Amino acid sequence: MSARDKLLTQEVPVIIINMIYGIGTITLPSLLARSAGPDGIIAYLAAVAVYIIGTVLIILLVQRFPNHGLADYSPMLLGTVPGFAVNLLFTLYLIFLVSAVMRAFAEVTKFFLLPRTPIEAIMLSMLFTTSILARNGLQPIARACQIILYVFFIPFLVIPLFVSVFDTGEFLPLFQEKPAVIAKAAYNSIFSLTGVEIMLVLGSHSENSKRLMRPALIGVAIVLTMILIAVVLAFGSLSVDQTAKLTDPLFEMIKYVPVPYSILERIDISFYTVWIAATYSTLVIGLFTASHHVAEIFKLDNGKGFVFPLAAVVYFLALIPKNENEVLAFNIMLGAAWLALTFGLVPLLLVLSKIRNPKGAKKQMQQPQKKNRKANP
Amino acid sequence: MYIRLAFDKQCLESEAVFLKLSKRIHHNVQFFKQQFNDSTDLVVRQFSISIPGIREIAGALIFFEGLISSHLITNAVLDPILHEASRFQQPIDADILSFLKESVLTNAEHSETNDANKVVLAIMMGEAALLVDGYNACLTIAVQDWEHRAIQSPESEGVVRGPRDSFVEAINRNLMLIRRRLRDPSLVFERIQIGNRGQNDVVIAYVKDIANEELVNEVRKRLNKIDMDVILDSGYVEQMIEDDWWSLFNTVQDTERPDEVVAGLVEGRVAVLVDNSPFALLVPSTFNSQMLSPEDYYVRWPAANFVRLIRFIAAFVAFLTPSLYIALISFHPEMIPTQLSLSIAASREGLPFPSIIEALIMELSLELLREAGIRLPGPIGQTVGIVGGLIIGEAAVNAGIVSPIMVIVVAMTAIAGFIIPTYTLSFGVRISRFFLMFVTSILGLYGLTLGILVVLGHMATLTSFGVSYLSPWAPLSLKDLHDSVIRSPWHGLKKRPSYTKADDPTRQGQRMPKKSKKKQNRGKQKQ
Repeated sequence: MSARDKLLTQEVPVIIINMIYGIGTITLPSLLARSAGPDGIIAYLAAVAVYIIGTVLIILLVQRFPNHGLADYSPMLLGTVPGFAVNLLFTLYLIFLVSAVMRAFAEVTKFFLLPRTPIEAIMLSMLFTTSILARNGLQPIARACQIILYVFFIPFLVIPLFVSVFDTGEFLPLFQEKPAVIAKAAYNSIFSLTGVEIMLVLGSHSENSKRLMRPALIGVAIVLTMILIAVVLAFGSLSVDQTAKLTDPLFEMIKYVPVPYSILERIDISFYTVWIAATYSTLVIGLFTASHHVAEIFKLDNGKGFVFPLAAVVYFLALIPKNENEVLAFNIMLGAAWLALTFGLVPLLLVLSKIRNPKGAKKQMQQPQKKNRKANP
Repeated sequence: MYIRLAFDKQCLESEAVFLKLSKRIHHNVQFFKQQFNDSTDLVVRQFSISIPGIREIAGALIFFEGLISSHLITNAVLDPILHEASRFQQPIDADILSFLKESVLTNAEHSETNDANKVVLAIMMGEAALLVDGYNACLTIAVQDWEHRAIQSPESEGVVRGPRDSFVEAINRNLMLIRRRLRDPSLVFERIQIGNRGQNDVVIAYVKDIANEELVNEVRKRLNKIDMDVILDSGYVEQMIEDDWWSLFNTVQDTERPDEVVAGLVEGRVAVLVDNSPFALLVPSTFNSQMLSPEDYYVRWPAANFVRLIRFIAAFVAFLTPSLYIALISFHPEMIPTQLSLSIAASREGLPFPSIIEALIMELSLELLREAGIRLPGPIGQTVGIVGGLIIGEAAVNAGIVSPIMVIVVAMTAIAGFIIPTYTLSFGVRISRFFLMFVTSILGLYGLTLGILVVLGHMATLTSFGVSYLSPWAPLSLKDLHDSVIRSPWHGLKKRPSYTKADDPTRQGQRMPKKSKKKQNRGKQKQ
């Protein structure tokens, strides 16, 4: 592992925030409003609870095998062939995730900024740009994400403007919907939150991969709070009904408040550039993780060479859905895949790692670490 | 170890060749004449040291005409040898050479060697070689003196408040300018020669108990790797030792201000000075460190912070304005406030070109004017600026080639570009500005954002001697933020910046006995 692929502990939350915060956030409020009405908030909180449990499970697994990625220990625990299958599925999952983000982003960009530009041009330019950085290694990605993170906070500067139009009555009455409906809404919204599973691959590159729980939970907590604020603002200032009708309530609502002293009109467009950056970081991390995971499957040093081929695959996958409904269905399937990964595979591996020759496995896993320690005191 | 004699191919091929001097003086003189190919500026002054009652011993002084002080040669070398040597009253087998060295020569610095290669090198550096018949050793006498420019005020890094001296071409004077500011015994100058033919002096300067040893070793390692003919300016060294030579941005800082070098040294950075160059190099260097001016530390903190904010805003203006103009005019006119939009539309009425061509015409002519202004002698250069900026701008608008708002955009860009304190950094900004204009003209605001992200990704990839170029913002270092866009008052700057990984991180409030000299060197040197 070269120095370029190292991740500082303080960069772990940064990477997680950048991965999760992205294009899914834009569509989340309307998705919640449509599927659960005012109870969308409850649905979101339920999703958050599930998500945090999932995060804890994932990080527990990562901490059990510091210095090793999923590709290393899954064949050891499951056997060579099932392990390879699991790794292949995980790679496919990452590629599908990236292409889903890519497609959603291209749709919104076309709608917002470039109505006459073909979607292919938008996707190709974005994929090319992200691939350049994804090839450069994890450390540069983390630094770029750190800078992009500062940009994320700019939209939150306008929150005080919403005080005048904010209506707390919109959130009441709560618990009008049946629990099943709320659960369905939570299930639908999981896709917008996916991202923490990248730690299965990147966790071993962290400076201190034995103590990832704190930084990972901090990152998840920050980003989930940011999304919560966005949802609450959309519900409160636009009303739930209107949120449900719009595809991009987060940009729509800024039109309803006057921004004092602004030099530009259509602030929503300038805010959209923040989401371009957010999607960029999501795609970069996704592409890097996927290519790195493939490299680890084949026991290669780095996945540089896989970035452009994977980006090509992502491009063609992203073109498959014919309309927005198919995009949405696809996204919900990805959410299901995330649930299967987090509450199926991860606990299975955790249990297996305890049952299957626990002492021997542990010893085997710790030996290279000791060597590392000697090498870099 | 660094000495390579390019004149003698055999020596070049095997560095370890040790060429011993002969005992016969005429062999030695012949050897040196041959080494220097009978160059006309080589002076061989032959004389005889007469020792009364014993005999006369042949001697020779070899040096290059323009490199030595004839005054010193006469008064400190020749005169004592020819006159004082007569006091030599010892037996014939006594060592005349060490007698000359110890009691005759009156200048400050000389050394004895029997390695012919070393002597050749010394002669080329302006020392005089004293040969005495019967000895296979030689005295090299430091009598260098040549014409150099007087110390003047800095041209590219002017300040209103602060010292006004800048480096000159003579490296010894530059070292003096540094040593005078930092009277610390742990300030070390390491001199090596680089350049197979030039044998140019390069000095690594650092403060031994502050600078991180790994950093110093890395600098040494990279300097030793340089394999060039001649080093004419520190720019040669800069381009050979930087981390990423493909990049638009420089990861080695250059400065002509001794106070900035000293400030860097006490921050734990390493300076590289090159003979014949008035620019010193400082490593590691980040984007942040290149955006700071030494004046920020001399004026009081409210003023310094105000100027820094303006400067960082100016960097963004210089970077973004033309492409933002293109994006707004050609792709998203709905973002411009209605009133302004109408007047812009009216002023652009009848313009033949799209905004990208308009912007390119004006930006390119601006770069033309800028280059012309630099090349022309002082007063005319300024005239070019005025003629170009005012008259051509006005005429271009009247002729209907560009819109008046474009002139404003270009003028703002130019002025903002001049605020960037480091000349080399402003190149990176200027070039990437054109890149942004191109991508914006293709994909509008989306292209502009992508372009910015590409530049950001590139900057995130850069390192300067292992330090992130975007430090202290990425990776975020809260400790160093107090000296970035905002500078805290001096009382808050108690620690050196952490990116240099200094051995001794504290620069204030550690009044240790005897070793307290190196604290508070920035701005507080007057005490």
